[in-house]
Amino acid sequence: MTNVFDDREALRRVVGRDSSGLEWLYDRYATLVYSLALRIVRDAADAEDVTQEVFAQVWAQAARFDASRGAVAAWLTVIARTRALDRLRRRAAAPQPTADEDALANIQDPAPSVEWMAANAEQVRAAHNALASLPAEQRAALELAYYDGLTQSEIAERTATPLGTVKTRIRTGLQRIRDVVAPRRSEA
Amino acid sequence: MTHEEARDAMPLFVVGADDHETRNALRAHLEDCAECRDALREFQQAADALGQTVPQIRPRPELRAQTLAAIVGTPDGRLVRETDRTSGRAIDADTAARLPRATPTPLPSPARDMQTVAPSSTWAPWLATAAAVLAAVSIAGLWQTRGQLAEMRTTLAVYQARVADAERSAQAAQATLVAYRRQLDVMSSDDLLFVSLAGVPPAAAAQARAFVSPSRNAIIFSARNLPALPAARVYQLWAIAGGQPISAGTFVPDAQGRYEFVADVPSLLERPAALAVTVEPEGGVPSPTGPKYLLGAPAE
Repeated sequence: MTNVFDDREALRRVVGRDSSGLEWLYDRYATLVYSLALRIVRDAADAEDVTQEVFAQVWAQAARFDASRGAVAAWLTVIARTRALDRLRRRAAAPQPTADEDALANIQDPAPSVEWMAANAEQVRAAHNALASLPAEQRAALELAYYDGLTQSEIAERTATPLGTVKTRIRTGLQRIRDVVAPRRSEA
Repeated sequence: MTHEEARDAMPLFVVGADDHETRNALRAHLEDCAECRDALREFQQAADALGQTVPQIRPRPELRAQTLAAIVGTPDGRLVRETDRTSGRAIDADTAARLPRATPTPLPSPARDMQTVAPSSTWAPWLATAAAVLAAVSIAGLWQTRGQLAEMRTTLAVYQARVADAERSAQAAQATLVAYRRQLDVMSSDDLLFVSLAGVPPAAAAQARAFVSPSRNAIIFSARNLPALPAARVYQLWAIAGGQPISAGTFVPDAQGRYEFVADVPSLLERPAALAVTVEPEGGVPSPTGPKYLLGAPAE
């Protein structure tokens, strides 16, 4: 077994039912997945469940992942967000007591840096700065859509803002982030 | 759907905030348009960046072994979890304590190693015992320190989460405050006008009131009993000034036909002769095309 590893090789191993591939992906991306899940579900136990579901999906569906269509980080981000929003909606449908803070205190381990973050630090920082520099209402509209899974009409209602304004805010906000993240676009 | 409409629809599409109709129209357009598919990929990258800029919090180390054990060995990746975890409920401290933890690999015992190499001196047993005691104390100390460190980290994580919550509440409060200040500023302007708008058939029961301030370029608007809108239509508020209709924004009332908002209308510079509300396609139009549902002139 070689130690030379990249996402593609890890996925190839997962497809071949070699758990070392899954271990490698977990070590590289678990913090990314867990952090996004935690941001969305705001509960450590639920975020752990989401993390497990995401890697279970990777194990089950790695063969279907088309590496030419995008990076593994992006794939995992999309799965993590979808799973976390599903959980959020299920929880909203059947309200449950919120997390016991002592339980929360027992099971988290904050860490600012992981390998993937380090390798992509510049891009992540640029996106972070772009998000932070958006006008508050654009940022709020984007966050309500992305992290809380609200539709444009729900955001309009929640923020008592005309629907057209909500759409403009999301559009303008995301365009500014795109200009930072994907600056080589041909369109003006 | 035109290319331009597709580009406009993409940001809402990638964050999942759009409506079904626009979503389907965009999908149909993307089927045949490679250029727009490229553009969509860039917006998707921007949306992914939102997911990757959240504060990075490492899951507790035990989750790794649990996750791998739960997944590997099941051909379809179906999770095999402890019963406590499948309910999706937050677990309490007792339950957390019962969850399987990674067993620390025993450290090689310096005492045993010393015994194997110790010369057959009378000091040897004493040295070995002392070393064993030292090792035991330092290992115990190490585990204790690790425990304290973990505790501090978890406390930090809890506070990080609280700060994030507080930031959101503060942002929401700030937005409300800005909105109230704006209303107060408009209401206290010297050129404030009051407009009562009456319903026009088929919306005869509809009513609205507005306060208009050309000097503040603003309209405070409140409507009720507006009929439900047809699909893909919105209400659009207009100020007629200088013979020109000026859009003051679109809106969708709640189930009771109510809606209120403060509209910023930068091009409203003079006293309007009238206010009107029309029904228009989603997104609004530059000048009114649909039927008038509400109409009114400023009180003298």
